[in-house]
Amino acid sequence: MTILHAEKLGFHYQPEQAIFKGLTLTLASGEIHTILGPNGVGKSTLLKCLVGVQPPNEGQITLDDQHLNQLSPRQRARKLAFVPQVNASSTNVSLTVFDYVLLGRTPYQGLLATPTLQDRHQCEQLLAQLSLTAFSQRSFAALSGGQQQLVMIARALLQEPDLIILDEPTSALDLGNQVRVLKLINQLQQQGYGILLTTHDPNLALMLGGAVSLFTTVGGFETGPVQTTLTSEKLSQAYQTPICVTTVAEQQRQICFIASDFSV
Amino acid sequence: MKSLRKQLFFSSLLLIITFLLALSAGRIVLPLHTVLQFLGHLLHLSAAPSALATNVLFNLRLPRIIAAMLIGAGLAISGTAFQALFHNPLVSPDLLGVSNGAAVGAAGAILLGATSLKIQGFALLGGLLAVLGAVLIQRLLHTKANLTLVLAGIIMSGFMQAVLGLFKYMADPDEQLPTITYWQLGSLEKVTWDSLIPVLPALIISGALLIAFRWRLNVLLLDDTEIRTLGSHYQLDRALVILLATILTACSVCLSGTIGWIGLVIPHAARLLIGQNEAKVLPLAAVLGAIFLLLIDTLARSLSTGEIPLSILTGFIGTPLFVWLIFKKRVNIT
Repeated sequence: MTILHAEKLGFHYQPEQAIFKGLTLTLASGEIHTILGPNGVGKSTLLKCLVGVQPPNEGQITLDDQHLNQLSPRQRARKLAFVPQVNASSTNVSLTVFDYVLLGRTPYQGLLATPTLQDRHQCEQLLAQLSLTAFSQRSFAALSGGQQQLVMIARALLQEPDLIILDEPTSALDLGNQVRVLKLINQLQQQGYGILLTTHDPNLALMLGGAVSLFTTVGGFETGPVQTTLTSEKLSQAYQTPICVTTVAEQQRQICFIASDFSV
Repeated sequence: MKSLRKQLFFSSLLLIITFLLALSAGRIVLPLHTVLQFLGHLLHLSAAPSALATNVLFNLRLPRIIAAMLIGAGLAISGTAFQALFHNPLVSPDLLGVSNGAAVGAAGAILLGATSLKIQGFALLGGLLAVLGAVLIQRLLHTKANLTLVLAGIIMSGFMQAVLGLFKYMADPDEQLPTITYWQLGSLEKVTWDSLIPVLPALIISGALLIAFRWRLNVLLLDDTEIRTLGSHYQLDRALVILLATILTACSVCLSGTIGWIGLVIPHAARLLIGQNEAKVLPLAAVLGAIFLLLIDTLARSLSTGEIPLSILTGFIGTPLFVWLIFKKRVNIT
């Protein structure tokens, strides 16, 4: 059981302009936590703090009771994996899918070592589990957004982490691929991984369940279970748009929709 | 795309053939059986060939051939490493000012009327100091971004070119100026055992370490956040690659003078043969670089009675080769 805990986190580029302040959240193995909020409220910055790439200005982050900044990158990477957003800078890599996923073994390699036969075997097995074997010799850069996202998740899994943090895992994907990724995330949670992800789609959080943290535009931050945190009222306030949360009878599931009138 | 093992086997075979040809070619053409007899004698397997042949082969050709192979390999792998590190396919090993710094060091020593061994030492020092300067400029700018380092390298190169210009202006136009110009065009004419042996350890060790580091270069292809969350000590890995590639390039350049094109073109040739995986590109580029420079240097000393400077030949052969490579890979150059 691995626990990532952030206590009273604060971050700012200029002291008078806080991106966020006094933010507390916990992620443990087997849990799912969605961070929700409009564009530009600091979701990506928060993730960078949580994975140890950006030190926060205030507060502290611990991974299994050890300060995150006192762990070596290698120790961190064995417990905590990060899946970046599918975008130009992270995807312009023309390694084959196999070689790309194999990079997940980095935390287990010495500085001057190359992956062993066992590492390669493990990589093959993982690709097979995720039905990616057919792509394994294709160039990563030439894949579609959905395939790239799955391959990035595969790379994170090869790190054998306990916790996986994903930055907007569905934002670049069409509906079919979104569902594929969501199902995979659900499966991973059931297998015992702790999952934290950001999104700006409240429906995603409603589908995934678990805990949710809602950033509001005014700098507030609220954490709680999905059912009580994602209400029409709170969402409307966060996005400054009338949003309605309702239950779809046939599906026995909650969805949210925009309740404003489009006919101007 | 063939496997690395196959590619390495065929290219090593080609290297051995080129090596034998290079030993046999030159102003005095020695028959192949003499060359083989000489190599056998080196391994204490056969009797020595004639004294003249042994002298030519051991004292003139062998150190030069070894230098050509090591320098070609060194420039090719530091080029590969820099292209991966800076995420830029158009980068060559002199990006951070090594070559210009070495040229300034050499020119300074020539002005002081130093011996060729001292010129070599000054060049080595100049190359290392220029890169150190570039790294310090980046530090002054308080950023760790790759792009600032590239900028610092351009600044340093520009400054070194100015100093070089000044030295050339001050140089005696009959004796020193041609020597400086000739040095800048690159040549292995002056390589002897005495000049080769002092830099040999640094050249081999830094090259071997960089080859051992090859798989990590793939990690460095990713962006900052990914590199660090994958458990790589980003600053350390980057500093190590820059340090090793710089030592390798400086050791090469101080022996031969500036040689263009190899560090830029050979990595692409290797990628064309084996794909983008830097762990495979690096060893293959080393062998291809060794073949390429050995071939060029053999041509340089055999084509005419005088020595043809290396950069002229690498340019004449490298330019069309590069155009062809870009044409072949046009999809991948982004």
